[in-house]
Amino acid sequence: MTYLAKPKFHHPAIEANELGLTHRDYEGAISTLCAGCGHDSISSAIMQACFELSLPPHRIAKLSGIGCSSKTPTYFLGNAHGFNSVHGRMPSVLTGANLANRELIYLGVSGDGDSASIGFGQFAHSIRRGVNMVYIVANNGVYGLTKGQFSATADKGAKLKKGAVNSDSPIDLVSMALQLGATYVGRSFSGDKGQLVPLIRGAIEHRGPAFIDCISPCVAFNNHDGSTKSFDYVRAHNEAINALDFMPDRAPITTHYEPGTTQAVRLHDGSTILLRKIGGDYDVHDRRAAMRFVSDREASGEIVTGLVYVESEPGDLHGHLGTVATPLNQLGDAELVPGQAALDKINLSLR
Amino acid sequence: MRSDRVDPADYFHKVVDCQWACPAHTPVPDYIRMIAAGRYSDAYMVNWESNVFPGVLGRTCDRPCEPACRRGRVEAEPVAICRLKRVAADYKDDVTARMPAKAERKNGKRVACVGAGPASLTVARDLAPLGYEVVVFDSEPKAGGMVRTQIPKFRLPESVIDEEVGYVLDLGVEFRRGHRVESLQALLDGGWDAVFVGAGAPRGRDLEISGRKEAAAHIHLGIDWLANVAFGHVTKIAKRVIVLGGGNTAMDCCRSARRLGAEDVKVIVRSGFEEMKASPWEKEDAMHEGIPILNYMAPLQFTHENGKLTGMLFEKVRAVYDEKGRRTLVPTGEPDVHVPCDEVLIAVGQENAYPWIERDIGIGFDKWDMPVVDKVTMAASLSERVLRRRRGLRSEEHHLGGGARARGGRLDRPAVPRARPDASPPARTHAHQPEDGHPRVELRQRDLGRQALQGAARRQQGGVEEHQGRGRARFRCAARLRRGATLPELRRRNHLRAAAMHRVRRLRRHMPDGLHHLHRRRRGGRAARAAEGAVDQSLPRPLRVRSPQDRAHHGQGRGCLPALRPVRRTLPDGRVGHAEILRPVTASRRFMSIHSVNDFVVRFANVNGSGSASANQMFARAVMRMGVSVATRNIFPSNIQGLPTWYEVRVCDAGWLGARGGADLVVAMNPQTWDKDVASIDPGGYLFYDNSRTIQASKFRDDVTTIGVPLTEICNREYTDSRQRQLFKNIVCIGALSALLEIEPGVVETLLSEQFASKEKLIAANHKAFHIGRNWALANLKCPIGLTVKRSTSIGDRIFVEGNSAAALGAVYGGATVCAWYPLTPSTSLAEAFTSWCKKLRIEPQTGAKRYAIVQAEDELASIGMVVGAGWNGARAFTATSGPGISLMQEFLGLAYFAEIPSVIFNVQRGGPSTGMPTRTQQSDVMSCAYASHGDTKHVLIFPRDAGEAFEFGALSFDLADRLQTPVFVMLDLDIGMNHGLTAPFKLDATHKLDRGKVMGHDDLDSGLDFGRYLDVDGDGVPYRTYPGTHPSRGSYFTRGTTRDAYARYTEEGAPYVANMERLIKKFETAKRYVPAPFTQRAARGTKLGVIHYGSTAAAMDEAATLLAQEGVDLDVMRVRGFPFCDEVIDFIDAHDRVFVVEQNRDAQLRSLLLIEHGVDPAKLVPVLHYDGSPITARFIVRAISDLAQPRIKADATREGALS
Repeated sequence: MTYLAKPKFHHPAIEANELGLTHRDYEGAISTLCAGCGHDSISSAIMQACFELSLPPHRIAKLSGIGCSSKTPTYFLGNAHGFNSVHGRMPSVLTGANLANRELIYLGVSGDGDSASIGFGQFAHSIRRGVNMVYIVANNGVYGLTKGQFSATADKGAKLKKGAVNSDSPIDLVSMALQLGATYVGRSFSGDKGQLVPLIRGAIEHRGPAFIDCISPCVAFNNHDGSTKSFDYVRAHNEAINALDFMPDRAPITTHYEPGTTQAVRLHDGSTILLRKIGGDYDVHDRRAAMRFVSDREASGEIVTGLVYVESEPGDLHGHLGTVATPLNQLGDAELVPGQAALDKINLSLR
Repeated sequence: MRSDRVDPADYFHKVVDCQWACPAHTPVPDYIRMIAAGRYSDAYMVNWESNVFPGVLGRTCDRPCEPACRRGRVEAEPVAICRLKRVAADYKDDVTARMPAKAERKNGKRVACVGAGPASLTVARDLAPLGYEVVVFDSEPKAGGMVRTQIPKFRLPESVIDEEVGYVLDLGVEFRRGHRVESLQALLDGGWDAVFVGAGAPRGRDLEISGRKEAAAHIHLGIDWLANVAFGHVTKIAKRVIVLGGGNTAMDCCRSARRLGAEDVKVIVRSGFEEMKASPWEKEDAMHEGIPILNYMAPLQFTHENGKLTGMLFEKVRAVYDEKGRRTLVPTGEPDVHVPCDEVLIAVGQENAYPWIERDIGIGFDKWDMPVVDKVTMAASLSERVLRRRRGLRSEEHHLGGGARARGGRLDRPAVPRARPDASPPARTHAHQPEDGHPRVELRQRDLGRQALQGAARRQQGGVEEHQGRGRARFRCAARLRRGATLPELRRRNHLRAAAMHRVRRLRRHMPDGLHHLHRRRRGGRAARAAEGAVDQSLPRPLRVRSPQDRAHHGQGRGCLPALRPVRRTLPDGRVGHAEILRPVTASRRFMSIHSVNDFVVRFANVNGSGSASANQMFARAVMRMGVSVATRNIFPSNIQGLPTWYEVRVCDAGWLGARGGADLVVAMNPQTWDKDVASIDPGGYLFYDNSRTIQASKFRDDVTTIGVPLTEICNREYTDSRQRQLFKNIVCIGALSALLEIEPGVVETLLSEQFASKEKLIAANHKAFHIGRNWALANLKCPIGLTVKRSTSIGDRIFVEGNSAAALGAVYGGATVCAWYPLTPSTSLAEAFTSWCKKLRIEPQTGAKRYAIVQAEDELASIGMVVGAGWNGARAFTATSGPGISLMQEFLGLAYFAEIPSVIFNVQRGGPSTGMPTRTQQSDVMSCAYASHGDTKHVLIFPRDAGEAFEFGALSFDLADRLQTPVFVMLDLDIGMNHGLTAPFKLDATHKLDRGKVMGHDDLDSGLDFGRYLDVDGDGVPYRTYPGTHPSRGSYFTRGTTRDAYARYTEEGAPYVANMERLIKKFETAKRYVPAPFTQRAARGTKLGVIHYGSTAAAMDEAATLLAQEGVDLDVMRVRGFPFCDEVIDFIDAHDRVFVVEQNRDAQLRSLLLIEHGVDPAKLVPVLHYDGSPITARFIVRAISDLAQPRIKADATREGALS
């Protein structure tokens, strides 16, 4: 965006959150993505969500694979450890990191090439294992770093800038995530921060595999006529099923809506997301209905956005494995090394 | 099917159509297979056993087999079965030595055979070697009957008849030539025990029509005329000849007439062409010679002028079939046809003729004037009434001789000499008479070896003379010996019921192959080599002590055959089997049995999935519990159920733990691998097998002691449940072995009790099974055999454990908390062992929660990804994999190297490349691990030698990884990983403490210390790191596989990149300090020869070094235990003139590493390579090094893989 370093200086009256941190404390390095890139909006939404949630940045681990989207962790949460791993393999690294220390918040940022093409398998398996994470896919339908080839989420019939038409069927990551057992599934649009920020906040608060497919137009290669991932196209076909209001548990619900038009989603820390229903009678707790709804809308050419599905009582990998509460990377010799006495017993059994 | 109700021989015959169709039931596929293998003599003997006259039949047989041939269903022509007999007969070597010996003692019974045709000769052949006095009567001067007199020489050279008839007569058969039997009564008065009438149908049928008498001078009976031709009485014929009749005799007549000079020969038959009795090929041959066959012409009269034949008149007829399909020939109404001719040969059929059998001596005659005989035994009614008193012959022999066999030797025509009034002069021989073209063309088309052709030529030249003096030879024929000789022996001993005897004989026909095999091994020499072909030449030669006893006792040519002998065994269904009696006295006379206490190899050959594994291991443990060292190896296929597995137990009090090679005792429980297993026994060794089912004698070796225990039978008797039968069979087997090897029963009982500690019921049941086997062996076998286990103390306090299990335990003690893995043989059991160790050792006592996380990943990419993620986040993480997994992990390994993330990879190596030998061992991933991934990478490898070091290094690897912040490979292999081995008890260093390496914590960061993730603070190349989430504002960094500066900031500048790469090399140098130091063993005397080896090669190398020292080859031996190589390794190489690098891969991978990393002179490092998937053996190393250590060694000898 710019090569000028941002000055540390800021307005004394800048807003601070409960930790006394300002949004500047959630920033990272200056983005090197193209001006106007949707991914920067996602970074911004992540920062906003973390700020609003008053999360200490260093307790977040941000992991990514390779690609434009995977570069973004550098541009937010500068005080968090980041890991730019191997193309398409972020989910496994995140899984391993999560196993080592269950106490951090794991933010996986990936792209459509990273997750739907090369890393489709790892995406699927990390979701089905129930790793406690926020998995955001910045979905623009093209490969940016290699200059505009179709990715696996590109719609059939979509045109590249140079005119090539995609003849392959697209992978719909939301449907996949629903099918694979993600316990929090949403889709948003990088141009709709009002929807995206609460969606990310909800995902961070959710304990379990939370997946957000964020359509994020590529201004360099996929923002032209004939693209189905352009700003204009997405705006024209956006079908928001609900609007989200995030309610920290302490705050009283002050807004008022017509009875029957809201749905309160309680999160594990006691906070609530209030969903204002827009698209008729839609129940975010019904996985099969959600799958049906998404595919129906998809068939009619609409892009469903909003919180698609959330499980009220999610579980996660550590729960399935039955690991100790203490992070494994903090166990000491006493807990890990059984000692010579146990060894003597083993020796005896092997004679 | 009950075998005592239905003849199993018939059953099997019926499966093979051609064999069933053959009246002699010749095992056709067997001999054709032998011909295909170039084993003509063997093929001949198979035939000879069955049909006595292969050479004759190969030319003249009516071949009922060929229409039955199953190839005829899919191809236009059947297999030329008949002609292949001739191939065998023509190309065989001299088989006189394989013929049965003359009976050494007569049994006092006398048998007369009337007629010297194939039927009588067959009887003579079968009875003479048994000791019967057989006398064959024939009016002709030469034996052979109609075969000799009626079949034209161009079809059947006399030399063939002479040879094959000679084989029979040389068995001690008396041939009364020129003795015509005129009266059966007179013959019977001669006091014979039995009389066999093999007189056949010697009279030609005449055609009594008008003109027959008048023109008699020009009209001949076909078979008489043929005989006259054969004996040279007829040498010419008129120009125009009519042959009447449609059988093979007619064909012989017309073709003979042609050869005698007739220009216009016609065959005229009443029937249609299709219905003619002649074989199609005979008709073809005739027509090929320009002889027309005129059909549907019924002879009316011979036309003549004053006794001079002018022709024949025929009525045209046609075939009319009634509703039952019966044919009648009715005149067509066309005018009669006159065919002019000068001579007529009548070949319209033959008749039996028994004018010499008195009608009043009690033999009934039927309406066709044929003697009434029993349909099965072919015994005449007289024999039932009159002969029974006189003869001593048992009915089964009568049957064998006179029944099936006589019919079986069926030729074109019943072949018995006919009574001829005019005594013929001595016959000319026709040995060199050319034969017709048909078979020869066929033979030329075959690509036969020069040698075989020469052999055939030699025989042809030899003619009749070749066979002279044959009778003086001491005949020894394994095939014949085994079969012919065993029968009388059995009978003498009264061991067989008559019916069973017959069955044995017929069954034997199905196993001639092996019999010949035995024979070949005995003969040795050129012929044997030529015949052996596919037989493994490496078979050890039998150690045989020849002694006069070999022959005298067994008589009748049994010679020095193995200690096996067939006797009656009371199998449940009354079948007959071999007696596999352990006869040490006999055995020791024949070969030196191996005698060894506490030093031998037992190989169990099993089928996987049969539950044998635990029983086999129990055997090994039992030996161990007696204080004796063992080394075990599990050889198994890439398969779950049904394929062969082997379990090898090396009992070795000296403590050598490597594979030895060979086997002293094979427990052969898998029929599929029987041959291979039997072949693997060292000469003088022992073969233990389940003899519930009969195994052909040929499948055994005569230099190996055979121990048969009817395991299946015992289990079937004792247990009703099929699963129990299977499982307890293994325990019964161990029971029998315990008796044979003197393993203390108490030891096994204790082991069984321990194994089934949680299932009380099973303990008693297993004890029972154990004792069933043990008691059977004690009662029925000579126990112990030469191999025995004796209590010892050599085992010390060592433990018996699998390498994978030990490595997993090492991981537990190394503080590993995260394991991500993907199932891959042979590494799977490591991850599984880690799971079970953790369940025992890593549960938080208060909560029951787990202090570990194990994830079975979706693939190796994910497993290494998780290890990297966990390692990055400060947990000790590992994966277990094998070569293919390493290939998949390459990209992540590069990331872990470059981003400096501690990770541990247990690589349980197997045979590569690709899927390679997935269940066999190799050390072939050394290079792929050392330089895994793209770009300039180098990884730390450690090489454990056994389970003990697998534990030690398993724990150490995590400290190494944390200290060096890099991937560490623990290079196990299948041999270490999946085999139980003896090793010193696991021991923990008293000061043992997990070393987490350079990690900056919250306080370090808070104190203001400078943190640069890739900053070389201490000058050892190893930077400091922080765990994520340590400090709110300091110590965070971005990890990536892209270039960065010392503070982990992204940069694409050259200088920081180079600085970073240099630091990584420095770190690699540092690693030399941490990897396990090499282990050196100096020779007793100073030497300039050295050996470098590593990993699982150590077990064999230790032994080899000792053996080589005994041979006078002194070696300093260094075992490398880590990469990068310590300076000590280079010093060692420098200190020696030549260093053998012994390893288990093709490309000398460790040697390559030495050359690449240290620039050693390649000529100095001599590779010794073994990579066939089996563990390297001391025998191999000794041979390779003692060969290479010779001064003549070539410097460029770089590939020794062939040595394996």
